[in-house]
Amino acid sequence: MAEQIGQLSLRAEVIDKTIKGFATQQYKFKPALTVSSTNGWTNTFYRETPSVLTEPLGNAVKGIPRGANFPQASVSWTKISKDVEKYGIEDSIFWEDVLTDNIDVQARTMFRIAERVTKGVDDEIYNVLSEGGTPVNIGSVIIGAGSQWNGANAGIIDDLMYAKEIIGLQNYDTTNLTAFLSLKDHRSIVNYLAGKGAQFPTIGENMATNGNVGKLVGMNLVVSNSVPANQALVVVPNICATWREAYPLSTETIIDPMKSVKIRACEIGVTQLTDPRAVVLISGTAA
Amino acid sequence: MANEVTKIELFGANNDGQPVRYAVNSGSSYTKGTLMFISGTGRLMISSDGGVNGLPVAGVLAADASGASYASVWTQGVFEFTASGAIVGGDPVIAIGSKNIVVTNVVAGSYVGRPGTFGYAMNTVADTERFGVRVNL
Repeated sequence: MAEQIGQLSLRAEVIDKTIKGFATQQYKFKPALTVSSTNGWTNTFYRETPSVLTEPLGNAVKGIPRGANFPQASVSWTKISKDVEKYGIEDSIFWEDVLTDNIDVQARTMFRIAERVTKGVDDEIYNVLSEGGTPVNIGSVIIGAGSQWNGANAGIIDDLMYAKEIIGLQNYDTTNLTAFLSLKDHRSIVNYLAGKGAQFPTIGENMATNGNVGKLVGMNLVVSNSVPANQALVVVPNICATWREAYPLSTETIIDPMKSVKIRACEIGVTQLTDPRAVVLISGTAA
Repeated sequence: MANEVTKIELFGANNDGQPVRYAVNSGSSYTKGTLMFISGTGRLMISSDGGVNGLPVAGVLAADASGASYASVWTQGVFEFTASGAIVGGDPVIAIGSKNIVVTNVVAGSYVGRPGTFGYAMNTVADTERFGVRVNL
């Protein structure tokens, strides 16, 4: 039927081809690791027992008598093997959509497919660094009820310094630590420092004016959606762990001529927690 | 679309879900992710809107079909469906009248043999849960 004035189908429509409504997921944890290539499926390293050697019972290091045998102690190592893991995702786009859609679905799909792999890798790195939220080898600071960072009795500076102390006690350099925070904890820190404006006038003013924290007690603060709201992780960057990379993040386009275009992204690697004592998980940060 | 069927994995050549072309009622609009059924003659298919018990399944609609004469359905793969009632992993499943909802074809531990089985459950789920179905048509 022919259209007349006032009918919907005659009304003009302008399509903005710039894609909106999203923000890119970026690697947040990977930059804190040493990236090292590998061509082996299984990757092994030896982790040295970090504690100072124990002196034998009744045969102390101090006070060896004249002519007596020396006390004996041995260093120990733990063999740790991890297999690389393959991260990937793909989608097929109909050829007709590639040619005729309002927006560049092929380029956008390629971008977002790669982004999903990025997130998968980054989530896994955090999971390994934090030992899944249950510290065994890494250091741990547990914030008790009532002292959470978003509460009235928060002791954020002390909690972060405690983490620094734990790392420092293991002889790691603590001058350039990185703290990974959730967005909620970042908010708590800004509120906390703004509230302490009288004690830290410069920081307090910066908090109130700009609302961001780049560095606190010597730690670089990195905010990530991959950090659970009640955790923060303090690490010695580039020392704490290694990303063994068998295949860097790449995207491939597979064309089925005149039928479909497949976009595939892949990355292969594994996180090795080489120095667990260079990591401290602060848990219970948020109520 | 409520209860839209979404792909988990597509099988077939080039992992394209082995699409099969059917004629559709050109006066109707069908949405991608709708479970479609074979009806009438000439490879005609209809959507699962109401009262389709017993009809054989054609597949999952691969693209929106509005005003088109033909559309293709994915026939091989693993897809996410919505369960009606408890379904045990491994149960053969059939569609019920409600759009894109599936039920088990097993009653009291025995295969019932009702027509329309188009795949089997990949995991055990409760009523209204989303779960994977291996579609094999």
